[in-house]
Amino acid sequence: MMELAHYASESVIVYDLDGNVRYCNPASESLYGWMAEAMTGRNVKNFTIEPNSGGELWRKLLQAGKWQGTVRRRPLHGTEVIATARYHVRLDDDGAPLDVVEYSAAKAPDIVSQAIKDAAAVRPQKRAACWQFNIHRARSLLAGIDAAGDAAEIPEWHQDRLERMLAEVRIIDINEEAIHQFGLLDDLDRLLARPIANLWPEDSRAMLGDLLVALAAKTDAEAETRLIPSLGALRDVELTGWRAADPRCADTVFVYVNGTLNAPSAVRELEASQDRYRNLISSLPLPVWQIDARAAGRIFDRLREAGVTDMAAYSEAHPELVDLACEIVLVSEVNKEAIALFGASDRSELTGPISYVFAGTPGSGRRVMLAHFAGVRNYVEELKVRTLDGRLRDVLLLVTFPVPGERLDTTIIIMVDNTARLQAEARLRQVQADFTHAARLSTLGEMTTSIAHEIKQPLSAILTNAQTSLRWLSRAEPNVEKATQLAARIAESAQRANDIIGRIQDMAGKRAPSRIRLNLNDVIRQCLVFLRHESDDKSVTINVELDPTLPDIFGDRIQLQQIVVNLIVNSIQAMKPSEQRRREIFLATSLHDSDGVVFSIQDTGAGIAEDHLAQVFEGFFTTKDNGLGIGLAICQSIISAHGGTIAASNHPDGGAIFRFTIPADTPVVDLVETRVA
Amino acid sequence: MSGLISVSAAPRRPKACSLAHVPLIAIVDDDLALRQALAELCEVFDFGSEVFDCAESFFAAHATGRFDCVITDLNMPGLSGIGLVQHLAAIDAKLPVIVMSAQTDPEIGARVQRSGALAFLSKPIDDQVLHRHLIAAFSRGARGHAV
Repeated sequence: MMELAHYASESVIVYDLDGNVRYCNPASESLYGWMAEAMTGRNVKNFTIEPNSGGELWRKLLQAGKWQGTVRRRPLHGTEVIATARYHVRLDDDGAPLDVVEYSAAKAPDIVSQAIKDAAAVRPQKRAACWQFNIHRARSLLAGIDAAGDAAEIPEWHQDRLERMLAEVRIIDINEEAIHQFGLLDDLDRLLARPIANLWPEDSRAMLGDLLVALAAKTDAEAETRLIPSLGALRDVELTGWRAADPRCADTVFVYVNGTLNAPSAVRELEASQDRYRNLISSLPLPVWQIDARAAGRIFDRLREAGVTDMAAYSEAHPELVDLACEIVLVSEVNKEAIALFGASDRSELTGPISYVFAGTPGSGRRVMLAHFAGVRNYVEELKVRTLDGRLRDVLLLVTFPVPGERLDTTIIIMVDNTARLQAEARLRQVQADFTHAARLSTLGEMTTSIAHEIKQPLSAILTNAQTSLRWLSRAEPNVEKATQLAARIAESAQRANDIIGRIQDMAGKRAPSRIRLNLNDVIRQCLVFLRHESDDKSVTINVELDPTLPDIFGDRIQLQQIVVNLIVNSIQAMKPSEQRRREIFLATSLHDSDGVVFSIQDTGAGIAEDHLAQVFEGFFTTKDNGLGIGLAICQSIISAHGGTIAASNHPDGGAIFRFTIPADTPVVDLVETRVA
Repeated sequence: MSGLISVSAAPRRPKACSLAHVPLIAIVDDDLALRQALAELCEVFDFGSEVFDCAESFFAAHATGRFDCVITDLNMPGLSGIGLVQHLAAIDAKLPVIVMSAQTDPEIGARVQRSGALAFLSKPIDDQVLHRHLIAAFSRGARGHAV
């Protein structure tokens, strides 16, 4: 924390809970004019003039955890300093107050806003560009010029003298309107303390110079006015200047620029575009935050200058960097969607330090900071945010950072509510499970013949054994031994029937896919047993060629059985007795490219129509009278889930070929898309 | 069970018999439990039996005059029940065949009758019905049989 505060351009002071200074950074030294050593241990009450109502502020601060406002300080030497300050109470790991951190920066003397109010009274005007200059260093030049010149006429300026003079006039402050009017895109900080020289339009520099000379010669705070035909995008411009009334600011001069906008003008365009921007942001149907991240940007610049290139490593070594960044990066604007998302009632609840945005997802603030440091344009992350009423919501966070050339105080954050999407995904998973279940049942519907057959075998054995037992027992000499033996056989057959039912229930039951190591050849053999009656019944010959060296794969046995059964049944049905003489199926497995298994099934039916080939795996596509058309679609999704592919084609000798491959020994992904981390 | 393994149990002979000749029944079914059950039924009928798990192994053991009746399942790997009937008609026309099946399709029944089988029984088979058909089979055979 301390090391980082060193880099901050704002004053950072850390107090203990009683208000005694524990630490202050270099920026606070230059702001308040005191030495850090001299300040340590002093109580905040000693050097703060206002607010200071007997510790009331301090009590309120400790209760609320934060406070911000204007403070007036008594520096070591010289005049009072007015600063805007933000305090927040830091907590230890148990949540108890630890100490208090104050961030403060100089506030220009209220004179500026007061001057604007005064000038507004004189000349009612909605907006005016207002500059505040320090002419201290230009005094000698101004005086010299004044002596030489004649106030009544526009003096002749020696260009270099003018340039030199203006080069010594420093900007103390400037308002938003001036930034717009003069087309200045720079960050306010970069303007401060710079000379006015190159920023003032060339054609009116002479007039500015003249105004300044006049003001320098004055002893009172009365305004001086100069008229200029045009200045930048304005025409009929009035330049009004006056010296600061407060004797403490003897070298401070205010210049106020008022004029009519030229039409068309770049400034008006700029204004119009600003309005469009504000309208766009406020009326976007998405929550938008406008963020001023310049303070963090400045820290990054200083860190880069100090040689830091791996910010990820640096922030790990200095975890307090993230906390600092989240405190000094400020939300300046939010739209009403953002207010609604967070359950706030007023924008003021959402402006200020950005830390609340990242409170719901630990680590997210750090990641955004790293993206900022890396200089990317956009950053996207799935985020949980904690609303003001304590709920946790899923959102997609979209950050756009400004690049040089744009307004650097405009980092934009948009949040897209993900809760609905995640709920929809959960419902989709449920529907897919239902779908797969339905497909299993529809395949089963086609298997009634085989099922009935399978059950009838053990039932026949049971009946015959029972009847035989009765005959043995009804003889003149009952053969109990035989009856016992046969009764045991009955029990066996009953158990077998039960197993068949169990297998059928497995096929029909809804289960989560399981991943076990299995061999496709085994799966196929089981299916062939199950289907034998079907193929015999329809007088179809199944020729089987299973590669004995076939490697194992990872998969769900039931699902793979389902695919094989589906494909075989399809092939059988493709060869209707009335149309075919030769009804044969060729089924084979083989090694695929040394890392997978291939299953192929070919029939001697009519094949697939060329213009249907592309659609066969689509859901609800069928050429059968009673077909539902979901069998092959389900096959494809099961194969995909196993990491493989399935394809249909026609054999040159007639008949269709279905072929699927599955990679060997690779873990299988879930049927549903996995979430992006 | 895809191979043609020849399985035949030792023939069962009833302990007491009133006939000079104990009829020998060939039972052909690929289902073990059913084969055994039918053999036990034949025994309580006081008939002899031999079991085979497929048509091919039956034909390997067949010799004219050896068996008095054949009971065969319809659906078997390899040669089917109907195939058995047709082949037997060619090599031993007098040997009656009873065909059984779990299928109830009437078309199947018609095909079986056309092939020359003596009877077509649906599973599960009733013992009295089977007994009646076996007696009919023996008397038909007996007419041509030297007693």
